[in-house]
Amino acid sequence: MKILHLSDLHLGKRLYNFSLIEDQKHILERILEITAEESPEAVIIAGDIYDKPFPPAEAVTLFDDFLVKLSGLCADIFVISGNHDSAARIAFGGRLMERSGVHISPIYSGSVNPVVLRDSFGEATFWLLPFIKPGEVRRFFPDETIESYTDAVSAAIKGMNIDASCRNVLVSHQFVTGASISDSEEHTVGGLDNVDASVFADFDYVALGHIHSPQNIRCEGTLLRYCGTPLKYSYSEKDQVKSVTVAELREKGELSVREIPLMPLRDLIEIRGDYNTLVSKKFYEGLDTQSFVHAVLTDEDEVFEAMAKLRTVYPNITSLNYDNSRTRRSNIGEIMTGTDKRSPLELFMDFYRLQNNNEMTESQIKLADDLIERIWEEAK
Amino acid sequence: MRPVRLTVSAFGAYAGEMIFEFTKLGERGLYLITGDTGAGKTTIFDAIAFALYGTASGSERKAEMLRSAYASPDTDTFAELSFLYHGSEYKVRRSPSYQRRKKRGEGFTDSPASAEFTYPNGHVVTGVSEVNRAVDSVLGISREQFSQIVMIAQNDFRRLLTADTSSRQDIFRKIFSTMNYQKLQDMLKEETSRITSARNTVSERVRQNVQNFSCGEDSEHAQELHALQEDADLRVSAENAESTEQIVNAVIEEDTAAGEKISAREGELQKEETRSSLRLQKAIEIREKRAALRRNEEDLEKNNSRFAEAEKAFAEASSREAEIDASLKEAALLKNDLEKYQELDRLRGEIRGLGKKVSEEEELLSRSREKLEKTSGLITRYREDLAKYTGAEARKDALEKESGILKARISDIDSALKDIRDLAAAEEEAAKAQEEYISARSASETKREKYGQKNRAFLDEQAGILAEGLIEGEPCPVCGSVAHPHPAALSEGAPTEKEVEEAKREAEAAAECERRASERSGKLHGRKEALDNQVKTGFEKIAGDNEYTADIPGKEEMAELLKGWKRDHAARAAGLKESIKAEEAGIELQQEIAQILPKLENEEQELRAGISGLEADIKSGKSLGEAKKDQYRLLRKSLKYDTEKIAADEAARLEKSAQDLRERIDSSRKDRDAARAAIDRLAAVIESGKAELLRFPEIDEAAEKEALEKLGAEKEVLDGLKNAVGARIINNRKALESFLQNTAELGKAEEKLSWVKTLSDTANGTLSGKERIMLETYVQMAAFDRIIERANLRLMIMSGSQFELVRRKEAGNLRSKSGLDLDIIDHHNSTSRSVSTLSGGESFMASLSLALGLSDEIQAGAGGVKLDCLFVDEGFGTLDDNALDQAMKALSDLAEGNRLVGIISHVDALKNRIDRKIIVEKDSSGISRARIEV
Repeated sequence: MKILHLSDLHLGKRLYNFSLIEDQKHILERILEITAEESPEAVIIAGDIYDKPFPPAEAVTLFDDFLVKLSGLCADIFVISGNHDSAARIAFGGRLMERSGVHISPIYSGSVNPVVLRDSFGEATFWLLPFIKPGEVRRFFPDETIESYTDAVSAAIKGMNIDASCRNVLVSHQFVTGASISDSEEHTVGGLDNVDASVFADFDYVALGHIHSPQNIRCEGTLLRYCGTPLKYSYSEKDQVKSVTVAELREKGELSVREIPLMPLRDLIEIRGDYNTLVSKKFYEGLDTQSFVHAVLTDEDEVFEAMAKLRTVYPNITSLNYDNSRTRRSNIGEIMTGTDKRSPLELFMDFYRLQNNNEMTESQIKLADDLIERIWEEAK
Repeated sequence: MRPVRLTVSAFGAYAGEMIFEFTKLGERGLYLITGDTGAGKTTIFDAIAFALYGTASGSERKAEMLRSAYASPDTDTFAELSFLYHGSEYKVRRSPSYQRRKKRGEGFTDSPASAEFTYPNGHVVTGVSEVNRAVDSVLGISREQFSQIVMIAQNDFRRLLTADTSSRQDIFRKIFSTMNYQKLQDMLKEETSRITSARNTVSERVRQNVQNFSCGEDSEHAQELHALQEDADLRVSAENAESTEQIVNAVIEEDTAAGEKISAREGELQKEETRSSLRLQKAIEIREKRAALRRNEEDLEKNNSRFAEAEKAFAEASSREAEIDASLKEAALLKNDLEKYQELDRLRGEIRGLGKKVSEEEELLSRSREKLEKTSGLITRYREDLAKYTGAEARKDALEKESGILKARISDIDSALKDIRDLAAAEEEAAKAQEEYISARSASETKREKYGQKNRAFLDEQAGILAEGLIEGEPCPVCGSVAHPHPAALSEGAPTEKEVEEAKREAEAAAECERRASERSGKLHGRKEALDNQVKTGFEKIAGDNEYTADIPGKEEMAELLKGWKRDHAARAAGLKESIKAEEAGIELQQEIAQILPKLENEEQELRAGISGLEADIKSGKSLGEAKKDQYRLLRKSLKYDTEKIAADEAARLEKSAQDLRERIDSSRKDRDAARAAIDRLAAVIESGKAELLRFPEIDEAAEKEALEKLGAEKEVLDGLKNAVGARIINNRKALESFLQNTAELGKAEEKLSWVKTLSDTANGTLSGKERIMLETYVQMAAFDRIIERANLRLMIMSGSQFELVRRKEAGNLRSKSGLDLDIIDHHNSTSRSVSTLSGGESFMASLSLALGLSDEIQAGAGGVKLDCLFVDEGFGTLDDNALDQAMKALSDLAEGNRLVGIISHVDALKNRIDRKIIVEKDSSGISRARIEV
């Protein structure tokens, strides 16, 4: 059974106030081409369909279009809501879309209805678990202690009563311990939201979403895989190659995954050098100047109106920062713990030197010292 | 400071009691307070700020407004916070002042602000100011600092960012306790001014010294010295001290030389003077001797004449020696007769006495005679009067009786007049009643007729009525016929039974009226008749009294007559009254006289007796007087003088004159002898004197005197000069010494002043041409720099490396305080500009970073102030998605650093990202409730 696994589309996302809708449209078209070529039995979209719970209209239209075209190319499509989505809004129309082969996770209500597919090797049960938090799960398992995310997911999985003898595929959207993150994931602020990989032991393949760089996490007999985002969404991902994942399930215990790379409409690159270099034709003629650019300027002196000037060469420049001796100088350790250890007299002497370009004389020092002693003693 | 539990009651949006268990939110990380607008989110922060410091969270809400408008009047308003600090749990509870219903009685009363603070060991402190102190000391930060660093209230976050140097100075002073530096500045300033005034005093002294120098008017150095003294701006320095010294020394030398010259000349003058004075003395001697000689010659002359006189006197006196004896003899004779003179005097006295007594008695006699005459006169008159008033009583009685009769008659007349009036009235009434009766009768007749008519008509109609009820075939109630060929018809206008009844009633009423009117009329007529008779009889009687014989007249005439008679009677009665009064007066007088008369008669008698007595006395007195006079005359004849005194005086006089004479003789003899002796003496002296004068030379006294005077004058002048010069020298020496001393002191003072002033100016930022940075500011600048560094760590993250805060290094001007102004660097275009140019969202990020930087700095400093919680009220709405992401990132980093950060926001993105929430909702009745969701 061939499964196409994608996630974290983040439709409608803006990058430094640039709209990515065109790039997303382009990449979805690429994905449709790949789907047509590969003819999978199932397509999994593992959460974070949109970037916000209330996505912009163009994002919704884009997804609508994509789903319609996708359902023409593949019989079963599995969609779950991620932490960026509004679970209720994603679930809209789910029961109606079932008839067309689009399986959307409802709002979590204590149990999961699986979908069973058949191939030459037998049955494969697909479980759709939307993004859950301990607070949402607690009320369905009043006898269990559910404090952490691990507890929550574990309880939810237990409630699914899996028959581990046959093939089970879980679609989930959580942060599994051990995954390496980039700058663009959003973590729930205020606590630890990671889930221990062991809770997924009963599944053969866990199609995960949430982490933006593609990676595998092996846990005994289970393969957990993040397929990553189809586009680069932060500069920490600039060196990654984005892809869709194709997972092939054979008999139980046998599966393999491969990646099909995706080429974006506009890349995300970081350029580095002094200003003059960066604007020189020699430098940029080898680059796609339409890419989204982050510039690291190494000039010692700040360049006046750097951003505006660079924009003339790189119209989609999103940000810049300086990397020179001054910025390197800030010693964080000292900043965070250092205080002024100078005594009042020393402070006065330094100040005097600063204002008069001269040192204080003996008699001045004596007078100042006397007064300082008196005043500081009194204050105690 | 970590909140554990917050309890609010009737506070802000919470009408009832609401408890927030903060422990459920964990020990660190972010939590979100979200809910409807006006549900009570900021109220939670207000409650925390109020419980700790007694004020609301921002500058816009006031403590008095904190009582919930929805609260029932019986619910008390308070906020209670228990919090952890350095591991121990404290509790603070406060109520604002507000109006609540009285517990007893009607109406409202003021509930005053109250506060209570519980230490971990259970010790409780009450009272608003006590609790304020406790909170300050436990937390270590003041309300000001709290609102800048821990609680970033709605709309307030810009304050720290956009403050100018002086406000920031105040804030930092409180936060970093740099007031010691401020004190140091002030003390240096004080020291400077102290030294300055000391130096000024010495400078004054130096100036004084210079003024004290003096020199002679014609001194060579006069101009220089004066120039020095005139120079008001004399700046004292080492050089001009030296030159001044030189000038003064030169002057002193000059003066010293001059002084010596004067002394020499003085010596010369002295010698000359001595010589001249000796000669003068001699001249004077000669003159005196000459004068003495002349005097003696004069004396001689005098004595010669004296001698001659004395001789003459002596001769005269001696010739009268015989007189002496004669006088003495006469005096003795007089002395013998002294007794007789005494007798004479006595007699004189007696005579005089008698004379006086007689004349007195004569006067008394004449007076008594006068009085007797008067008294007799009175008696006669009274007796006459007495006779006049007999019979008064009887007369009075008669008059009174007549008066009574008159009175009776008058009253008769009055009652008759009244009867006449009554009669007139009665006649009127009777006439009226008659009229009424007539009209009542006619009315009654009319009514009767009407009733008769109606009744007839009604009766006539009976037929018609009965006929109405007739039914063909049914018997007629009247006749029994069953056929009714021609039933009676009701006529129009037939009266009903009721109408008839009514007419009857009216008729009867009218008849009654008539009857009553008739009765009344009759009564009144009777009365009238009676009165008429009464009047007539009355008049007849009176007429008889008044002798009126004509016929009885009509009413008016009668009344007139009566009135006239009454007038006459009244007049007469009045006259009688007068006469009676006169008689009564006479009776009274009579009584009086009866009393007085006997007294007077007594008096008369006494007087007569006295008179005769007096007459007898006078006679005897006169005769005695005569006898004495004779005695006197006899004695007088035998003596020379009148009185003793005269005689004694005469005797004395004689004795004295004898004595005088003797004396004169003696003294004149003495004079004569003395004069002779003097003459002899003087003659000898004159001889020797003349001889002496021949021996002396001639000296011109006047010339010598003149010369001596001239010398003396010159000497004086020189003396004066010498003194002046000497004094000047001493003066100048002294002044110079003092001058040098003071100059040295001044130099020292100036030197000290210069370095102290520099120090003070440096510390106070008043160095000219330099930026006005004070020492305190410098210290604060250093702290500020560190704060900015810390702030920038977060700001760079939040702004994607675009913005960095920087302290403005150069002042805008050299006049206002500088050093703590803040600028923002925009790396995108490498400009540095004021923070007020930031947009709303940008300034929120900058303020948040700054607040975090500030709190870091405070925690890092000494003092152990632990600020491990932070409250941010709104502001996130100003951030776009990107910025919001970054802000979240920055805050989560914070949260990892063991801090608990509470955010109020209604931004949706935050709701999704932050797990732990306090959700505040308002229900349909407007009551707010909050719940904690984890």
